[in-house]
Amino acid sequence: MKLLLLSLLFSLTSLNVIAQDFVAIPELSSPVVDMGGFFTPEEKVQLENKIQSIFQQGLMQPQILTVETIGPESIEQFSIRVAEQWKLGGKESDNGLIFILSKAERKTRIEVGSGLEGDITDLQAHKMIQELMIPSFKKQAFANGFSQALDYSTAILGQDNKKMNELIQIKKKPEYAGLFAFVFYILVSFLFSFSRRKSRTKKGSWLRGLISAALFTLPFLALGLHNQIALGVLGLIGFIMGFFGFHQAGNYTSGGYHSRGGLGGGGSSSWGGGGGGFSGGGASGDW
Amino acid sequence: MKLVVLILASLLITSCGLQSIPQAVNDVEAKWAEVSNQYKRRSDLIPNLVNTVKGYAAHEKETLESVINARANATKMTVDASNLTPEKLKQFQAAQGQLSQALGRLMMVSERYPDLKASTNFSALQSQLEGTENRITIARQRYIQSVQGFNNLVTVIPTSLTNKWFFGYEKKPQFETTAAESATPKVEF
Repeated sequence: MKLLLLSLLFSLTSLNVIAQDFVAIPELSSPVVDMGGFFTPEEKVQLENKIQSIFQQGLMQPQILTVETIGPESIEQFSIRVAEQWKLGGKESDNGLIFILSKAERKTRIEVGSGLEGDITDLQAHKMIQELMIPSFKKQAFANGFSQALDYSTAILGQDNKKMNELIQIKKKPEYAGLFAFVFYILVSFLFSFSRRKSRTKKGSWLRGLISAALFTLPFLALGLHNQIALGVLGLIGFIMGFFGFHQAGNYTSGGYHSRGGLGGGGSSSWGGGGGGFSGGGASGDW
Repeated sequence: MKLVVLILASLLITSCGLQSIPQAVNDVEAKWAEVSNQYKRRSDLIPNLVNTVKGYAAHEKETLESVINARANATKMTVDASNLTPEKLKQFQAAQGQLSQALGRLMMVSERYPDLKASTNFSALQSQLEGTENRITIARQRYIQSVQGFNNLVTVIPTSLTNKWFFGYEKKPQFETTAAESATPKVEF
């Protein structure tokens, strides 16, 4: 009997110890809780404003949490504990969206509220982490990574496919991109060819030809075209066009990212969860 | 005096389990439905997964077939919240456990096919599977907590007495970590 009681006592206390090892969940003081110290004060305010703006539009209740460490738990275990304690999102709408970043374990996770799972699917969360967040984090651009993820999430909810494609470009296969570039060049070259240059010195023509040849072949080289014959043919075409006065187009630039600056939201007076539920949707990643 | 008795009586009634026990039963059933739901969700992902893998690794017949069979078995075993018995739960767990093991082997085999791993279809399914496994884990945790709460009510005085006199509920079955489950290779991507 004594042994039984002793072993019960032991198991109870050891359970306590294990539970105490878990990292304490910080207080939900603001939309951006930065225990890990990843943001400058300005970045923090910008992100807070962005989140407040999204929240006040009634889209969802995002949250950013960074920590020094998540302790002995996996990122998923830690994340759901946070979600269950903070209860972000509305009680009926369950539209909380928690972004978590840990310093020591280099883990990140997006925890998607039950109400958002249909739109921000596990796959979308995975994409955001792999294409937007981790690349930025690796460059130490933490605020930018979160900002883009917030933009992307907002675009999903607004069904703004254009914005989504801007942020995460659909990877085209090099062959298609090369074909597109080729056709584009041809079109623009022909358009420009009808403008005549005043000076048509022989030297000038040769120079133009060489420049055109280079301009014509370089993009294809960059896209991975190594076939020497093809490059030679392209170079020749470019040279002829330049020599005889066809102008080459300037290069086209691929669309860049543009992250919106923090929109003025309301003052961050009180921030708290509205009783929203989470059922474990989302995605995790290592950065 | 009568008022005091009345107040005491009403306090006793509300605290003794007449409300909390049926509420706990409902909670257990709801949590079980969620568990069942998430397992089904995993099941639904599998045909797509099998087809994708077939496209790149068609001669891994044995592994593919074991997944298909395990899935068929698991789908047959639907347990309703109202007829949850310890035996049924054990059978359910065993069937799902076998599916977990077959899936684990399939993912390990897929590691050997770089083209498969690189395909967007496969990585999409991978992230969906990961998400579903997480949801299953969380749904089970919540069910376990719910059953703990219910079992406490029906075994601990004074609510246990209320149960004895008014409801007659048995303890609800609990998930137990079987040997098979501890041996399941964790599906890590």
